[in-house]
Amino acid sequence: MLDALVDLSPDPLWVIDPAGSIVASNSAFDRWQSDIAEGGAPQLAELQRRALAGRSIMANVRLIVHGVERTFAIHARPVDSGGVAFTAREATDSGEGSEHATELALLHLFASNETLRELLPKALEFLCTTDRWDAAALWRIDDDTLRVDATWFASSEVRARLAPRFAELRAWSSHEVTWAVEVLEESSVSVVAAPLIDGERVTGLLEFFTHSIRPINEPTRRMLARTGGALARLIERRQLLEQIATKGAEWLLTVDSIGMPILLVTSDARVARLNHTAQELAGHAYDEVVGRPLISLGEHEPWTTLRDVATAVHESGITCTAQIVAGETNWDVTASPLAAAASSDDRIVIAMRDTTEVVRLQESVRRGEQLAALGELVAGVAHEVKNPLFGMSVTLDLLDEQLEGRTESLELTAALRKWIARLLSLTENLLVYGRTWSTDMKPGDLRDVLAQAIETSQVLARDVDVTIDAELPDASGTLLMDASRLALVFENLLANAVQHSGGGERILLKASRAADAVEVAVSDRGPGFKPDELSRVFQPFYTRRRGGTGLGLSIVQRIVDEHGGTVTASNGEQGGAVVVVRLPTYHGPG
Amino acid sequence: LSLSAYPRITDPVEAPERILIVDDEDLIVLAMRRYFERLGYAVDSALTLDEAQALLAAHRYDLVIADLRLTGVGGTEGLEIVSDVHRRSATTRIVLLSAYGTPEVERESYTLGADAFLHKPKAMMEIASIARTLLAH
Repeated sequence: MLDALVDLSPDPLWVIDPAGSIVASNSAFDRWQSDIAEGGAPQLAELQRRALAGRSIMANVRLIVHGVERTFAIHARPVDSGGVAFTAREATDSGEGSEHATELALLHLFASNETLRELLPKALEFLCTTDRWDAAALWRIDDDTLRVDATWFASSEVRARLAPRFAELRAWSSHEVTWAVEVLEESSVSVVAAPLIDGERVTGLLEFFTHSIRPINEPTRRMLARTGGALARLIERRQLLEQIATKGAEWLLTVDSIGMPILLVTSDARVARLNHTAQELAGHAYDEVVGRPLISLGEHEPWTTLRDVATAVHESGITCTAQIVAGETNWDVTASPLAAAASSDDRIVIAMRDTTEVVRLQESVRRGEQLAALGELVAGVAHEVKNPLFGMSVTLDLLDEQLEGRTESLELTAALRKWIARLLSLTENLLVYGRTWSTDMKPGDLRDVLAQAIETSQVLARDVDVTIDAELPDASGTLLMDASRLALVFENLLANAVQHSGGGERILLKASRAADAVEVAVSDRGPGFKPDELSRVFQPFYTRRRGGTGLGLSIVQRIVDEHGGTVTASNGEQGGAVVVVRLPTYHGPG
Repeated sequence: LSLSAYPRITDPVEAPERILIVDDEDLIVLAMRRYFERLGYAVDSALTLDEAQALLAAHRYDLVIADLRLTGVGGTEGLEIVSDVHRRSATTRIVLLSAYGTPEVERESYTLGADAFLHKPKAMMEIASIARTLLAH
């Protein structure tokens, strides 16, 4: 781009290497050079020498062109390669040439990669050297106050005391170049101030000092006004660029800190940019990925779909979305066209959202809804069974009165009552298992629940001479719970343990704290679970015990589920069944 | 309560007290009616809310035993009977029976003035014992 610009310039431009050989030039230079006869060589050599010493310098040089002496403002400035870049502009008839040359020189200076803070003193030095000033200062107007932005002094002895004075203030208010002689540090100095005008606005002041009385003539005034305008525009543009660069850096940091993979791909599905999260997903560093085709990151998901989506966006020019399942991870992908103003090659932004957790929750809700519907059905049936059971029980009550004294018949009605009791127990368990619509969660202490369950189970345990030991050192933990329902969990586990224990055996209920959870283990010394039973013990109607309803552990799992916990069944190291319930602790709202 | 506290059918009631039994199951009504009659009570029965309300308008009862649900799913006609009884007579005792009772309905029935809310199934001996206790107060 710079090459094209340089060649378009009507002014001769050329670059020499440190040895003085021309290494680059534009077409204007080639024409100009062929027209020049002799002369001016010593001045050019001097410019070259000073530029090679690191100075940016401008001088008027007289040259014979087609037999006519003409004046050219020639600017020489050092370049990074170690050589010197020259520009020339005719200044024969007026000050126009040197004004243009000054502008061009400033433009070249500002084309470097240096920051404004580094550039401004160099610009001042260049202007002072070119126009023979001893010192210069650049003022910035900041909140209606003048502040020094940059200074340059020819030598350390020349130190102007920098505070806004008459000349600057007048230049500021009048928008015109102002000249004054002032007494500074006990000697007279000429001061000239030129406003930096960007459009209508005065953005700063350019000020020059010299230790001689040096009134300014009209061409100088015009040149200074023009230089001020040029400098104002260059500074404005550079500030904008620096802001963009800062914003760019900020954006890079921001985009990198986003926890979702973001990729910028070209229209042929190559990676142009990608953020940190995307690099992690790709398993490669930035430099290893940029420029590579998307598909080279892996002939599998998510890369295959990403390529298809990028192609779809390129062909349609509209935003496309896709859902990707890659292994255990679900992604929601949005790809949008990004029309870059400065580039003919359109880019596509791909943002990937990890929806694994959302999908898991959706499935869990769906499962929960199914369970709730099933629960309602089960509870409905259980209710309907209760009424006929009541009818049977009432009829038996009446029959018993009539059968008074007839022992054999009473034995039969007693048997019927046992069957009714069994049906009733099943019905009650089905109601507990199916009940999902009235859980009443409140913060409560697990220790109270465990104490209640143990007390309830003691009766059952004492009947068969089984002892319940409780170790509850760390059981105290606040849980979000439906206390009466949670108590059923431990009553069921203790009842199970009692039923599988022999006389004189002991059951242990032990609670311990884990991070953000309380664990309660109920273990017995009974026969334990058979290996093939372990996967089925929580299934409804699966029972190890004759006469059991097969709902005890299903109810346990159901209620533990409701409390956001987990339950596992296993066998102890010394035999016997161990059921561990893990419940999350509650840390209050918010 | 020990078994000896329950009334026996052979223990007759001195002055026959009047009981209304309301349930949509005719076999349950039949058995309960027989049971209470044998205990010596004067028993009327109703199978629907309308029948029950007509009887309540025509007679004064010492005790009403009503099922909570007399129609389809979710019915709570028993609560209407409680209100009706409470409006007509301050001395009539009322017991609700339910196979569907939720804690909310149970609370509401007590608020409306029920004396007892029993969950089906319940042994007749228990129901009779509660009836006798209520009638004695």
